Formats: sequence, C-alpha cells, structure tokens
Amino acid sequence: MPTRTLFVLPFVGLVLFSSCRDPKIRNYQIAKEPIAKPPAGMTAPTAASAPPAIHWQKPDAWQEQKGKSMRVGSFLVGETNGVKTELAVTTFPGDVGGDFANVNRWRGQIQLPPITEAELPAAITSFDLPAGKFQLVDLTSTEPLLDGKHKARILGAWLKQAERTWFFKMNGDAETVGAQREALITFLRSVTFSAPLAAAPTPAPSASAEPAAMPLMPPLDMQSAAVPPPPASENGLTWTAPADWTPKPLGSMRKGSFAIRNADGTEADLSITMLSAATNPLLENINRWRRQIGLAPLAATDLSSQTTTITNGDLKITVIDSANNATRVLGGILYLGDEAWFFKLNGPDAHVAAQKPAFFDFLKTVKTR
Amino acid sequence: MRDTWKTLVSFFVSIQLTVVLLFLSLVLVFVATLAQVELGIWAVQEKYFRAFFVYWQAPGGGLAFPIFPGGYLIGGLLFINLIAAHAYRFKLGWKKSGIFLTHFGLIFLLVGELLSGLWQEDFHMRLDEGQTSNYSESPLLNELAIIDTTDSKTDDVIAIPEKLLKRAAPIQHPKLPFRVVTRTYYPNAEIRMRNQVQNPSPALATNGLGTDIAVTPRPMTYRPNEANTPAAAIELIGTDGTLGTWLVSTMLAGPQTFAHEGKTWSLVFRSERYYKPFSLTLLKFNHDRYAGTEIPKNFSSRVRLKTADGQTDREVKIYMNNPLRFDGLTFYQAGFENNDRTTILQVVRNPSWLLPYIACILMSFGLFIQFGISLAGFISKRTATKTSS
Repeated sequence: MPTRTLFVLPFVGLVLFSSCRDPKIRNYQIAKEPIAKPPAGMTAPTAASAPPAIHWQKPDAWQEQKGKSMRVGSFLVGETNGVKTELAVTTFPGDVGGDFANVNRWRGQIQLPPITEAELPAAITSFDLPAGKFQLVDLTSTEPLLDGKHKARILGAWLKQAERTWFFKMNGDAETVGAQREALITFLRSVTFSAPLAAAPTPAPSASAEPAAMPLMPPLDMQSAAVPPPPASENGLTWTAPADWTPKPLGSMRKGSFAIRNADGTEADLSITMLSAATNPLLENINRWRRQIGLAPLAATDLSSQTTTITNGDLKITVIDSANNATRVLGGILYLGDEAWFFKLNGPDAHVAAQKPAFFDFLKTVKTR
Repeated sequence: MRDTWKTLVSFFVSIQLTVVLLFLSLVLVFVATLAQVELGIWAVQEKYFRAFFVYWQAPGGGLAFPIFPGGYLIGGLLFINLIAAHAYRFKLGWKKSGIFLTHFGLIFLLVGELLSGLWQEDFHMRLDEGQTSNYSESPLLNELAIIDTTDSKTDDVIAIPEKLLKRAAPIQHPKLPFRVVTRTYYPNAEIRMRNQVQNPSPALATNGLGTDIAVTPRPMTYRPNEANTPAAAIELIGTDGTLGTWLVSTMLAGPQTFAHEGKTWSLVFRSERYYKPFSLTLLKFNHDRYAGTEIPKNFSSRVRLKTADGQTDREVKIYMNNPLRFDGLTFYQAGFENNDRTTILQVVRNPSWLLPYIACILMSFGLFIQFGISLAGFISKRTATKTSS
C-alpha cells in the first residue's frame, strides 16, 4: 500500500502545480498615485516644464486652425481635389525617441519602408535659421495613397532645444506639399521664442469624471499624441449654445460639454453623449437618470405623461424633467438611426429650473450635419 | 484490476521509459533551440518547455493540435519514473548509495525547474532620475486594470490578466458592478488616429478614446528587442444594460475614466504590475566610459530605498554584479535609456533558486561515491587477484 501511495503522490503534485499557472484576477488597494507618468520624452507640457512661447509669421495663404489639442499651432496650408494639406506644430520634452525613430515613423505613415541608421544622414537636410538648427526630411509615398489618386508627401522639420524638441509637420498631397516647401522654410525662418507661457489652469473634472485628452505611446505620430476633442460637427449633429454657456473640456465620452453658471456662481453641467441606440432604450435611460437623483423608476405607461417631445425638423427629442433632493435633471434623448444622443442638464434644482427655457431653445438648435 | 495495476507499475518503473523520455527530451531541446531563432527565448520557453504539449496551429489561425510532448510532460514523466523506480526497487545499502544520490539530485533538478517556472517573478522597474516607484512591471505580461478611483486616498484595483481577456468569456468580479466582456482581442495591433488613416475600419469602441482610433492587427513578434502591443474592445455590461465598449491598448499611456452608479472608474491596459511594501527613488544614474572613448565602463544607479513603515531608509548603489537584495527580491542593473537619465532594473524573485545548486552538488557527490565504490571494488579485486596469483 505505501508503494501505491508513492505512485500517486507525484501525479497529485503535478496536477496541483500545473493548476498554479492559471491566470487569476487580482484585487488590491494602493495609495492614490499621481496620474500615470508617461515615458520620458512623451510627457505633456506641465507647469514645471512649460515650453517657451513660440512666435511665427505665417504666409497669408495659410489658414490658422483651432481645436487641435496638444498642437501648438495648426494651419490649413491648401486644399487640392478635396485633399487637405496641413501643417502641425507640436513640442515634446526630450528627443522623443530620436531622429531615426521619428523619421521612420513618418515614413511608415506614408507606407515607405524604414531606412537604416546609416542612410539617415543622407535623408536629412539641415538649415541654420534664426531660432536654431532645423532639420528637415522630405518624404513622398511611392503609391497614390490619397483617394487612390494622389501621392502623399510629408515635409517634416524639427528643432532641438536643450529640454525639448519642436516638430513642424506638413502633410498632404505630394503636389501641394511640394509647392509649399519654400513657404515652409520661410515660415521656419520666422520662428522666434520668448519666455515660457504661463501654465494653463488645470480644467476642473467634469461631472462624469472624464479625463482630458491623454498621450499615446511613442509608436503613434507625435501629432496624435492626444485625442483632440471632436467638434460637434464631426459627430453627425450640430448645435448652437447660448453665449453665456461656457464650453468645457470634452471627456472621452462627451461630444459636447458646457458649464452653465448663474450670477452667484452656482453651476449646472450640460453633457452631450452618444451611445448605441440598440442598447439604450428610452425608458431605461430615463429611469437611470431618475435613480441618480433618488427617484423611483417610471413604468412604460407613464412615459407619455411624464415626457414632452421637442420636434425640430425631422428630429424628435424626448425630454424628461425630474427633480429630487434639491437636484434637477433635465434630459433630452434623441434617436438618430443606430445612435442614441443624450443631452443632460444636471445641477441645483432652482438653477436648472431657471435654465429650462434656454435648454429647450438649445435643443431646438440641434441639427444633423 | 490487479493486472492493470501491475502493467501500470511495470510501465512506470521501466528503464525503457527512461530511455524514451531522455531521447524525447533531446529532440525537444534540439527543436526548441532551432525555434529560438524565430521565436526568441521567452516564447520558446513557454511553447516547448513550460507546456504539457507542443502544439501546431493549423494555417489560418484555426485549431491547434498537440504534436509532441512538452517539457512539463517529459519532465513530469521522468520525475514519476525516477520516484517509481526507487520506490519499487529501493534497497538501502552502501553499494547503490551513489546511484541513489545521483538520482535524488536529478529529482531536485526537475523539481527546481518546475518551481522556477511556477514561482519565479522576473520584472522590470523603470525609474527616471528623481522618480519614485513602488511597483515593478512584467516585460511580457499585460493586464487590464479596472480601478475604482472614487476614494480620495486609495485606489481599489481589479487587475485582469491579458490571458483572461483573450479567452473572451464574460468576467464577473464581486468588486465590479458590471460584467467585463471582450468583444475583440488582438495580441498585437497598431493604433492610429482615425483621421490619419485612409479608409479606416469602423471604430471598435462606442466610448472613450477608442471612438477616434483605428486599430490595425499585426502579426505577433517574438524578437527579444520588440514588444507586442495588444489591443481589445471591452464591453462593460451593468445590471441595466451596456455601459458601452471601450478600446484598450498598451499603446494608450493613460487611463480612460468613466462614472457609474456614483463611482468613478478608470480603465487601463498596461504591463502587469506588482506593488511592493517599499519604494525606490533614482537619485542618479551613471554611465561611465573609458576616457576618450565611447566604450562603456560601468553603469550604476544610486537609489534610495524606503519602506512604508519607515524602518528602512537608506541609499544603495546598484551596479553590474552588485545587485540590491531586499525583501526576497534581487534588483539587477539591466539597462538605461533617455540619454542616461532613466535606469531599468531587473527585479527577480526566485524562491527556488538554490535547488539547481543543491541538485548539482548531490549529483556530483553521488557520482563521486558511485565511481569511488566501483574503483575501490576494482582495486580490491585486482589486489586480491594479484595476491592469489
């Protein structure tokens, strides 16, 4: 019998040991840490490392563009056959992986094979300009990548400073970019720097606790190092907010975000989000909002008596007004194809009630693109 | 029944089984060595040695078939074979003591490798000058961390290993008020802003950053100097239905945050983290070169080691062949980057690190005794023959 036991033991041991390798979910508590520090060279500008202020003289034909976060500057250089050529100016601490990695990343973006480190010096042209030594690569795709008709071209320039690198990247169809080469160099010649800008105040977290745009890791283009907040017009709807509503930074979920303040500083929050219509039925969402302020859910039969409908052309927005515990939620829900759009005004009861006419007027400005 | 048992016993105690297993292990080592060129050492260890079978995957990513016994199966059977043979034939006596010790050493070696595979932690700690960290990260494994950040002082972390996301089965954890369902999983994928991609595929996510990101799957890489960057579309489903689908990728450096049922949550796909009850601060990294050349002479990191309870607070210099050993962990100087301002420490915990040494000593000692006994027998026989002649 002892012999049999000895036989069995190794089997049992093996099975037990092999079961140890099954991956397990871990749960632990840690002291709150500061926001995850991205790798060196990818940190977004902060108060401590605020970049110097940059100035330039842009050619008259270029149009300055707004709303591209993380970009220091953004210009529409030209548009040919519906293809836009843009110039983006960005800055990052450190050397952002070095020239070799950056050039090959740009090459990859227009489907060119990477070059070797030995080939790098030949690919770079240097210019001694008033702001310092700029380096420039001129890359043209071998295939017509834009609409299948036009070759893509990147004119990428960068300027290294002690603590940071400035990138100037012109991107578009080969013909337009080529025609703008001299204009770009003239633009670079006009670049000057002055003392650092005052650090921008940190935006207050929004009600849904959405973060501001965050950096992506190095393999992405430096210009896409943060997700720019999409303007309303990119999401199928447009709207016009009253002048006294203050736009807030968009979180990762919000398509629109406003702070509505009254004279004594009381603030209500208006969020605009879009989710799948299939998974967001009307009643469930209305009851979700009601639960958030401690109200009992409505029955389906109550819907018609508790909601009003704003008709705005072809758009029908169902509005619910709920208040409890000194908090009021004014919510508008719009179903548009397979999309469900939510307009939620949330805040102190009296303040939101006072804003109700303005909220209704706002909903009437909502239009499809 | 008795006959079956006897057959089983005779199979496991047979020397033929030993020979076959040793031959199979030779073949396994040979094939795995060749495969290392393509797969790299980590993948080979996982595919050939730390597995019960070596699988062949049908072209097109279809079914995987076992085609050869893996290291665990061969090693496990050898282990059973050795134990069984000794249990069956064991007779205590000086004449076989050497063989007994040698085999015992071999058993130690097999058990040691098994325990190393199961228990060894091999992580990295990356520190910029002036930065303090109290966790190390896996160079190979990733996790989806879902963090309840509502409390102002602590974060409650639920870390789901990448392997569980890959299985795509719904995940429910008692601490989570929603289920986690993997809708799409790519072991290696590139992400780009959608507005920078020609004809991007539909967004995988309905919420968060992923709505603006295009994902392109890439073949997995096994090269030692390259890393896979997995991505997944994760749907969170609460009691009232879906909360939305988020794109997570190790290429997204920071967390994506959302609110649900009065709590604030963060989602981040990152290297597996292991927190320590102490922290290290990189005071200075030094990269010494031979005078007048770029030839490296020495790399060293001056760090400050501090425990949470305040009992330890000292400076330590870590350099080649002079690791820091603390709390069962060994910190080796492994690398540097960022113009010599960032150090990379390899953090190793291997509770069974002594076993291979003990095994080698036992085997050497056993062989020495066995050959000694044979030699003594031979000499005494020869002396006896000479004397009689």
